Amino acid sequence: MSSRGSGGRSNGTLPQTKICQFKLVLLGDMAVGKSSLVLRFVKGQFDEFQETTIGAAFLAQSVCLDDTTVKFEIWDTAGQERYHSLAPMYYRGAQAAIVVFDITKPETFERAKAWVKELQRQASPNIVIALAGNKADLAEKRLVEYEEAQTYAEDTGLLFMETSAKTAMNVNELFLAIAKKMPKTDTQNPTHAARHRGVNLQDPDAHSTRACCGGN
Amino acid sequence: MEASVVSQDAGHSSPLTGPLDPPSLPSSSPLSAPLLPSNPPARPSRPKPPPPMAKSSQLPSRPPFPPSTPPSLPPPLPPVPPPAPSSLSPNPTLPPSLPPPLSPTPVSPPPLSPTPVSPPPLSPTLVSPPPPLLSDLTLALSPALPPPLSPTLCSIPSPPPPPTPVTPPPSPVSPPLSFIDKLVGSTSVWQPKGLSEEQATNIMEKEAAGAFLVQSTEDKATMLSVRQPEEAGAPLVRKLTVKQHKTFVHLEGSSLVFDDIFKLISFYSVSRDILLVPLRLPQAITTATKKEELEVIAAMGADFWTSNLKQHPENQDLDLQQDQTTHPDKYLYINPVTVEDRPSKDPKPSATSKLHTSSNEDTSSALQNGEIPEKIVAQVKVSTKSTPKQEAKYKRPPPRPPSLSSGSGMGLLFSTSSSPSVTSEAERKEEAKGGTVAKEDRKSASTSPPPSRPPVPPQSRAAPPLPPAPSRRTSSGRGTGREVGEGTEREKGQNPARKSEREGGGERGKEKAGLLAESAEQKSKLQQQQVEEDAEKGGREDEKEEKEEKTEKEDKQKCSAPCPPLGKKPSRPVPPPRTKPCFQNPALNSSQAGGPITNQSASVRLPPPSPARRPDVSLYSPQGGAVLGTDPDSCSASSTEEEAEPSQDLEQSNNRIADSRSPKAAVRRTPTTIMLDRARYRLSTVITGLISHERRLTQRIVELARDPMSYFGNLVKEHRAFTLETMSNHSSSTELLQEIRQMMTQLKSYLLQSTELQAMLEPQHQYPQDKLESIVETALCKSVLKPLREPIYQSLERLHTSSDSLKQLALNQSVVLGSTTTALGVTTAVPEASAMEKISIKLNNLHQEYSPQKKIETLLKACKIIYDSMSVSSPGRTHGADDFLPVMMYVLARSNLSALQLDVEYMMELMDPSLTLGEGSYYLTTTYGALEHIKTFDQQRSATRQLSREVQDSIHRWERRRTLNQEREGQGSVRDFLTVCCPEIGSNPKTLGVLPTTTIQQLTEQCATRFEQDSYTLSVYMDGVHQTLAPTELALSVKNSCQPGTYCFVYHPPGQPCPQPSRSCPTDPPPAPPVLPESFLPPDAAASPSDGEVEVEVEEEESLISL
Repeated sequence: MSSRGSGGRSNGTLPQTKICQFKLVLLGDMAVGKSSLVLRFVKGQFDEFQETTIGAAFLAQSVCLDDTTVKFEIWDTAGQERYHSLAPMYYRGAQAAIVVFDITKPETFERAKAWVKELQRQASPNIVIALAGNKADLAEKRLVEYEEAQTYAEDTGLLFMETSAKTAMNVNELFLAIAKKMPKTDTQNPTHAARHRGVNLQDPDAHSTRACCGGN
Repeated sequence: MEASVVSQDAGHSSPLTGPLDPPSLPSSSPLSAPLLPSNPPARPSRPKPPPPMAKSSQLPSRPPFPPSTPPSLPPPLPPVPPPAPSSLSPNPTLPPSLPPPLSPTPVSPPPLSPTPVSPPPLSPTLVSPPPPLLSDLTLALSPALPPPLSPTLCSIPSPPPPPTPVTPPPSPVSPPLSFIDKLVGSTSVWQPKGLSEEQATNIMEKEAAGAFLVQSTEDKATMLSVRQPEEAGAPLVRKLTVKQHKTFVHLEGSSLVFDDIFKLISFYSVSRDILLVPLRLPQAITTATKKEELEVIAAMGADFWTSNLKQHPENQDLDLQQDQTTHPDKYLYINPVTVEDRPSKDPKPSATSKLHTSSNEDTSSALQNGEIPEKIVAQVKVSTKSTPKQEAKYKRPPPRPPSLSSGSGMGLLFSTSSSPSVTSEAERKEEAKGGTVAKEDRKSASTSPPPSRPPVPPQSRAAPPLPPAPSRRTSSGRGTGREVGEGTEREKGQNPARKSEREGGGERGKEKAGLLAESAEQKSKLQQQQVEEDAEKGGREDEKEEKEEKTEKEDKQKCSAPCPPLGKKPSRPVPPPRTKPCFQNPALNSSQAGGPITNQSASVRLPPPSPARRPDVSLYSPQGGAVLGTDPDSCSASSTEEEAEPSQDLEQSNNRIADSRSPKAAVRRTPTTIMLDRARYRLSTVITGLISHERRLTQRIVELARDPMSYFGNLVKEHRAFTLETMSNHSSSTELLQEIRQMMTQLKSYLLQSTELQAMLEPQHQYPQDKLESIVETALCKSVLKPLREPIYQSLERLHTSSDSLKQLALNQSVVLGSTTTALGVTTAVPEASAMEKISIKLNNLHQEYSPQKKIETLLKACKIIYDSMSVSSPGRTHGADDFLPVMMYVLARSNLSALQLDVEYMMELMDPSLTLGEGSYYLTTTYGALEHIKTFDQQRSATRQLSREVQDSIHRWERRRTLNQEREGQGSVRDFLTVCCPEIGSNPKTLGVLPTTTIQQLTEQCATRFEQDSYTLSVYMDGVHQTLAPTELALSVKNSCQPGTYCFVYHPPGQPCPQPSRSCPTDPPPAPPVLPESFLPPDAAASPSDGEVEVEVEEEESLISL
């Protein structure tokens, strides 16, 4: 599934049409707003790039970044502790991960740390991990200080943002930041990449134009 | 009109003839059932209004006749003797006339109306087919086809039809698949391609007495190999030549003639005639109850004989024999039925054959026919003796006919239905106005004999063309008389068959049906339902088509439905007769014309549709077009896959025919592109519209994969055989599946680079590489995975059973089932009973599917249902994994986990590695995870992470494998390929698989095998300059040292370095533009002067290869 990871990118002749596909996994305790965060991203300003899916557990969204169209395949995971054992099946092969916690619930931050640790230990070595302190709109109930999380993120080499799925604060920024940090030079196999790209992106050109609007 | 008709026929026949024979039969058989109703309409249409009217009036009077005539027709049957004389005598006279009729008939559809008088054509059929024709003519067909037949018809028509219907009743077998269906569906098994005589003999020696193979090579005699009983003192395997007499075929030494090989086989399966034992299909085929089963068997082709599917034939034989001994008498009646069937079939072929025969018509044949009857009678008697056995085996020959109509008949049904609809445009209109009433009438008629009559009137009103109506009338009117006759005939046993044969015509079938219905009860309802269902299926497929078409189809269906009712009792062969009649009419014509065996087979397939189409086209061009379209649809009705196949088959057959045969064949060959008549044109457009090029290409690839004479077909065959052999050696399911996937990937890689695929591509339809890959993948799934699915699942189950994993799963499933939704973490609504049922159906469909891609699609549909049911409690809320996974667990705990476990593995390992799964991958992973979670459920809470290790690892391994596969595929393939031309640049290029270590010496050996030339040498031309190759050079290094496009490997006679140095050759295998290779590109061969020889060589080579 993720083998193709950074899948296809278009041929080098037209940089604007370069397309990268990434698998992004969502981790975090139950009810921290993982799905809401992604939905805000997907349903927000990037409607045009959204691909129809049967449900919200799997979403696909493309964003335009400079000369590249980045397509995220977003794999949601169940946050329940009892399903923790299934998580590795989802983050295997993922090029990016967003670990989400609820700033009003310290235990979710602890759980997030555990996820980060697990990712760094078991996931792909080059995985880009972002830490998202969600529910920033509930600042009055904050129990996890921004600085604490920020420090942790710096120490462990993570992207960090406080977000609000409710207000859309930092949602797109978070995904764009991840997109920027993704290696755009992947390419295992040119032919392959090309083919995959074709498969993955129906309309590269449209995407590219769109991307310009949305991305910036 | 006629011309158009002819062309259509030709088109049809062509496909039928060649390799397609089997397919054609199915089509014909299916058509036959529908034809009954439809045929009449079609015929009427030709004659146009006037004829129908006459028919209706005539029919009543005829009823009495039928009995008399039928007997005569049955020739083959013992009872026949009495009737036979009468029929025979007329026939002899007819023969002379026949030839002429044929030619005229095709051309003169309009003239047909007068044709009723044309009986002459029938006489030729006398041999065996004639009877059917006669019957048809008498009924309603006479108007249309009649011209030639009319003379004979006059005498024969009325009587024969009724009798035949009676005999048909045996059909009670009602099961979905009739004998004919099975026979046709398994053609690739008993008429395998590419088997040498020796191989055939070897295979037969291992079979039980009665086993048989039919081998036919182009331009060579068709041979029937029969395994004889050991005690007979005769050779274990007896070879008989299947001779062609005009349009008929017969066994050397027997004077019983048949329209086609299928009828011949059918007959000899019931009556041994000159054989020591009746023919017997392998049990795996006779016991098959679903088309799918047949398809799996058929896909194996000759491999079937060495496969596991052919289980314990000997034991079965014993059983069969016992049965035979115990119930010999009961089945006697059946024989007659079979005979009838033949006639009916014959008509179809005859129609198609007409085209061919027109030129070939021979008075002598007619004479012979006349002589034959007597012989036939005697033979028939003999056959009756043997028939009991056969009957026991098959339970009842009669069933075949019905099945034909219902099963293979899909296409036929349409044709029939279409023909009625077409014929009765006026009717349609009327129906449109007050159509519902008419329809209702028809329906009622179908259910009961009396009702059937009412419908007739409407039809008559609508227009003469209405075929169904006439038939009904005839049936009702004649019914009583016929019934009586039938009763007597039945008692005799053989008579009915003769009668039916004589009747031959579709009308006959109708009449029979009517009789049956009246006399009988409605036991045949089941059959009818089947027919109707088929028709409905066709209709569904046709949905795309215009509403008009739909209505037409409906009409057709209705018509067909009524006919089926004829046989009250399932036991009665009634359904078959109906179908037969339809075919019979055409058959009569064709039979008269007389043509090569191959043509016959082809004609048989096509004829049914063509007859209907012809009338339609000529009379009602628009409808005709619709009708044409319906045929394809009908095919599809059986199954989407199947749909595509028929068309493909037709095309292929057309091509082949064109190549090897008369100009007519050529016309047929390009049915889609070249249409002689309007009808054809319409047909072609409809077909092209309905069947996507993509699907057609897929079908061609599938066909190629099944053709052992092609290099690719051989590869597939070998791979499949290898897989089956080694399947039990694997210790893990992953290993097993991986090997299969790898094999598929290699085959795909080969095909994508091969000239074989290039030859199949239509210049006007270019596909991007990824699209082409997906088409090839689809075709490979069908040709490789479809037949392997069952064995794969068996192996997976075995492996999992031995590892106790399924047991563990079952144990924990109950634990999960007993846990609360809260314990599962469910926070939303769970699917209710109705949703659970839907999901269960989806998962069951998923399990039945053979294509990994389609399985995944089905899985997504099931997941969608879960999502939908989740949002019931909280509309508007979107659910992420937190919500979904628990509900998934809940659902899975209530599903067939063991099946799903195997399905998940199947999907994960066999899906196309080059495909980005995306969503499918996510839900497949989720399903897999949920299954693993259930396996470890009770330990879950305490030792979650430890337990998940294995799961993690397995997923990890899976991803790695996929990655590896992709990389492998990305590299092109495990093997590389070279294209070699022979004997000169640009001619007859073939793609050869090459390993990195393959030397020129080895490559030369490969060439020797593929080109069938030992003494040639291999050279490479670079920019037209001849380069000698050292035997020790590596083939790939030579290839890689050349500039792509500037070199060409040539396998040529020693001493003749360069035949055409100036010509630049196609470098790589795929590119090779000049590709003449397989028969696909005959034009190319013609293009270059030197190609003539080359082509010949190729053909020889291919035939050799096949051996």
